Amino acid sequence: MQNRQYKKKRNFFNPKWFLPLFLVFLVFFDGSLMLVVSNLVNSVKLAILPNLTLLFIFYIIRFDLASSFNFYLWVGVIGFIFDLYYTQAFGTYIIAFLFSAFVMNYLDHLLNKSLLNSGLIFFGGVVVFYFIAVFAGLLTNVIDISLSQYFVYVFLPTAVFNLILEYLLYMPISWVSYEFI
Amino acid sequence: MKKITGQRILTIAIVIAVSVGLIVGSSFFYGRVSIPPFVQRFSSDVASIFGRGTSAAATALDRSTNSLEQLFATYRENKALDNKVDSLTQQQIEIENLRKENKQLKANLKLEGSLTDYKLTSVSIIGRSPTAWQNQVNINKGLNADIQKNAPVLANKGLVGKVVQVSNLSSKVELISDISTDSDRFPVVIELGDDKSVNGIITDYDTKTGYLIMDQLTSDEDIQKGTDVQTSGLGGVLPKGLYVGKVVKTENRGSGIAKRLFIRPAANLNELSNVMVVTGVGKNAK
Repeated sequence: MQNRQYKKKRNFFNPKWFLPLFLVFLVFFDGSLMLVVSNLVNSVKLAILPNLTLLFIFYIIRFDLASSFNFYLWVGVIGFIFDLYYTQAFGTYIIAFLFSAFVMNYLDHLLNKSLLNSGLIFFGGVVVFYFIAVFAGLLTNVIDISLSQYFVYVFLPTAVFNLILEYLLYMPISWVSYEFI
Repeated sequence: MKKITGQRILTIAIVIAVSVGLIVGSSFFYGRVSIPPFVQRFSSDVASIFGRGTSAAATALDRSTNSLEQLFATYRENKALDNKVDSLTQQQIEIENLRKENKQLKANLKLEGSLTDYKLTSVSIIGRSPTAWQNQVNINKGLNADIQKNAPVLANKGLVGKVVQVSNLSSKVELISDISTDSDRFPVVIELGDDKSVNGIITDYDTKTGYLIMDQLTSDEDIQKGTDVQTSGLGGVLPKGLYVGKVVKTENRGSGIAKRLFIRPAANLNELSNVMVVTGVGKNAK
């Protein structure tokens, strides 16, 4: 395999530490980004939620970096921090991150490594993530929005926005990811 | 393709049961505690320190891109404000006299503190929840600044939310636009003059228009557009007289069903960066 011609480099970024720390950074960065762009995204009357954390979990799976650190443990930690920092209860996002990472990993093994498939795999993760979020909301009785409204005003715009980001960043991230292999 | 064995089904069932239990259990628990356990407060504080770091970078980027737009806005505002300054000076003198008179009357009545007495603490917003229905923000002060659960939060023009969870160094604020069903309702009042007033509750938020919805009105009085809405102080949690917004629309929903009002909030809830938290009401304001 041509990809595997890249030899292991002991470069300035050790993936064992860099990737988990970068994911932790993204959890907080998603909140800061939401704060900065909230006026812009709400002006179009749609709830577009940036989810760079899930996007980079996908890239880690896609570019075979998951084996370079304790992947699922750190995904659980990311979900824990997300729950701790942004919600008032534990569970929803620990489970949402873990399940969507599991589904993306499963689909990644199932489908070949084309650019189009990358979108399908990430979309699968996004569906699982927001399905669990809405299910947990219904379970704890915090949702006052119909499922059709949720689908049109929240899920679709969010999925489209994150998919566009996924395709835009795919090539640059793939180049950078070779540094870690 | 892996076979679906009994053990695998059992594992999946256990995982689902634990997940559901965790979500429901923690939601039930946190809805009932005023201050979270020490471990969570400590973890939240550590998380908030990271949050401040990333928020500083993102805010700096936002400020630099908006600076030109703000310059023009400042010019327009300056022209409009020039006209208001003279009348405000007169009002300031009047308010000062009324404040002195109020203080004296309270002293005569031996009234130690009322719901119109409160003090404010300035805080910065360090993050916004990237979730669909929980319209919450994180602020950079907590128990260290005497912030308590349920404390009202104001932007420079009026009420924007209330504190729902407090840690040592940070807190979570639920905005009045939060549409989750477990968010508490705000009791409000419209003063119509001649000792007439209409009480009600903010029960909902229209995401399309950005208007708050006032429901459960206590009177069928005719309410004009542009009338001010303020907190009523009923329930004893929020102080009385915090400005909430202006009435923009009245909706009659047929005979036998009370009408409801649409209110334009005092501040743009999507442009918050610094807010004020009410840290003492009544006696605690001193």
